[in-house]
Amino acid sequence: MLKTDQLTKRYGDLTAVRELNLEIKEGEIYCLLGPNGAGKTTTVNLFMGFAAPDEGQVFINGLDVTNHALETRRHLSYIPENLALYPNLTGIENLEFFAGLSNGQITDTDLKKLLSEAGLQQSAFDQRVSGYSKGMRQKVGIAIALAKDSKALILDEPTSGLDPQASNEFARLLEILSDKGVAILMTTHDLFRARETGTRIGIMRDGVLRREFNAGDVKHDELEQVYLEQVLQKVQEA
Amino acid sequence: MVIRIAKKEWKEQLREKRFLAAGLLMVLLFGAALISSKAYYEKEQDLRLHAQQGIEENWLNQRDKNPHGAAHYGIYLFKPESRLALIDRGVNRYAGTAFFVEGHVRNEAQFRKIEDETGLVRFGELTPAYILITLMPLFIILIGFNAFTKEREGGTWKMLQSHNVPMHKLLLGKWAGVTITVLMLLIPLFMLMGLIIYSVSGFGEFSLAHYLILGVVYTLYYLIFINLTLIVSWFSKKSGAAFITLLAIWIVATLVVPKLFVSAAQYLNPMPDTNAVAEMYRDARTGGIDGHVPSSARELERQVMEEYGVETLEDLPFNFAGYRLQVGEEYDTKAYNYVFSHIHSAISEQDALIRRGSLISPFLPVRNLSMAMAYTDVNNHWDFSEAVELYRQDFVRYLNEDLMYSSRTGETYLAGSDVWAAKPDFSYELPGMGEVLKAQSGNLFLLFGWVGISFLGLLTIKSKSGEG
Repeated sequence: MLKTDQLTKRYGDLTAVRELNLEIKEGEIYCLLGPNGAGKTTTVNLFMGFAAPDEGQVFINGLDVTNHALETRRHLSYIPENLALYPNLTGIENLEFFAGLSNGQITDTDLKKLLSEAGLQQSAFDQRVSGYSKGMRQKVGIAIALAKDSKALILDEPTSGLDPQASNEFARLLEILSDKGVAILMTTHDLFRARETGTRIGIMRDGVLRREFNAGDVKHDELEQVYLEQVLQKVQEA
Repeated sequence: MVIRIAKKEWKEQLREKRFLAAGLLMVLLFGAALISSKAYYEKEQDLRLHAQQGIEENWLNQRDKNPHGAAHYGIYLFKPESRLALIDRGVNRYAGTAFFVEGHVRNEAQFRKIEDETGLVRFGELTPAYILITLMPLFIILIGFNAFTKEREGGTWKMLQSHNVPMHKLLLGKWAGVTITVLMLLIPLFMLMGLIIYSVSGFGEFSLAHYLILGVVYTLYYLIFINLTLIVSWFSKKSGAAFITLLAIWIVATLVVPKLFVSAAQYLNPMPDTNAVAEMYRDARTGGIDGHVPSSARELERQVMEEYGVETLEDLPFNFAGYRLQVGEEYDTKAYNYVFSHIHSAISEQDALIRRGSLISPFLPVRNLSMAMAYTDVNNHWDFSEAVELYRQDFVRYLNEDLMYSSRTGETYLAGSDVWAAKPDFSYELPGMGEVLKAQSGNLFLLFGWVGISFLGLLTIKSKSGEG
């Protein structure tokens, strides 16, 4: 569903992503770990078509993102670290707006159902988003993704800043989406969440995918050790 | 999708404290301007009505006298006003609206309201036109400066991109959202203003066509500012930068350029002052026009007696005094026409220079069109001034001819109430819509030019976004 082939992106002298080969199948949750500057967000931006690759290709549902940006985005939902919603609109109005951009008119009942499914309290539906916590905003984001009925979901550090309970709820929602066959790519610093939620884990450093694991095959300590090695390497190089 | 985006924009605006505060301020200012203008207009019209009646009565009730004495007694003529002057007072307060009509002299307008004001009037007056032309663009800037920057700063830009929102639809949606918000404020204000103007019964003329065209002119003007605001918001990285840029554009367009070009026009093509006009008249009167020196009184007597084949003035079939006065009057008229053609030429040159400023600011053509629709512009003032002058010539000729044909040379003649009552009537109709639009074709062209350029600017956004 989500695939890169020898993907490379440079910003001047800096190679942000180097010859990245990645494949995320339907129903898979791929957690991309890495220290700051590892190339995670650049990878997300390349998938979203926000940036164009210098070399290699990005595919979504078999279509090259560079040549079919609009078509590929139809299959894709995106939740950034700080999900941006319109603060003066309510949760349900935000959902109606974004869901409507993709699917046209959606009934009020369906909108409420989607928000409930995403775990947002009913009392918050008609409150302005300016008063929402980050967790509540992320739930609206999930509802938007559910409404879009995407085949793939890309999340850029969605759990950073969430309290453990909100983070757990968020992970549960990702599992629901995964069960529906959605391919999920999530960048994160949260090793615990990656191992608990992900089906596969990749560790990036300096734009290169250094290690890949099946989440079930790796223990938390082992994952932590490998990750720290990469971080230390980065610190030493710096 | 466009409607959805427009609806979202509109909904956001309504919940934005900035919009509510600015909108409320606009409504309050507009209400205050409308009330004060209505009071001013009614008071002025009332005074004018009473003055006109009094002057008419005084003219009819004046004692028996030599008709030439009556020509010096004179009458006042008041410029008729459209009720739209309540919106835009234009040059009336500065140029005056009453003309004193008398023998020998072509007077300029009198009773300039500005002369009755304190120095505070220098700070400007609050009129509906001021709110609509100067402050409304600021309101547009306030509600639209962050139309695009807020999406970038808030991160929703990427969300929109991820939902495949094409740039032209986003642009159209934003444009429609801001335009709807502006119209939502403008339409009720304009309807309220129309009702109030219509309700000012008994005074002035009310032309719905002029009012509607005025509405169209203002709306086109706002479209220019809406487009400019969206263009600047698109090309700015931060909302603050967009706001500062737009504020600078507003200051230049509505404050700096008009004053700069008016000052330049006054400096480069100065209007002759009162002394200069008097001197010009004196030169024209004594030095001759195109080399024609007026005949002396004795020479005139000789010519007339020769023409009529008589030996003495008493033998003429009319009173030579009246004839001489009329010849002198016609010569005065030529001298005044010469002087006023210079004044008119200076005004035209000033106008042409100021019009060049319209290439930098859409404020100027709109300001001119607004005054023209309200019949308070310089053209209308000049048009009325010319009509008054033509009437003055008829009026003085009537009195001189009465002296000529109601008496013989050397007789003492006193005209009475029947002569006063039979004086020519003055009638002046405000120019029709066609005439006004023709006179304003240059300003209309510039306004449409600005609208076209601003829409082309919006297309630049589309092409810069890669959809071009």
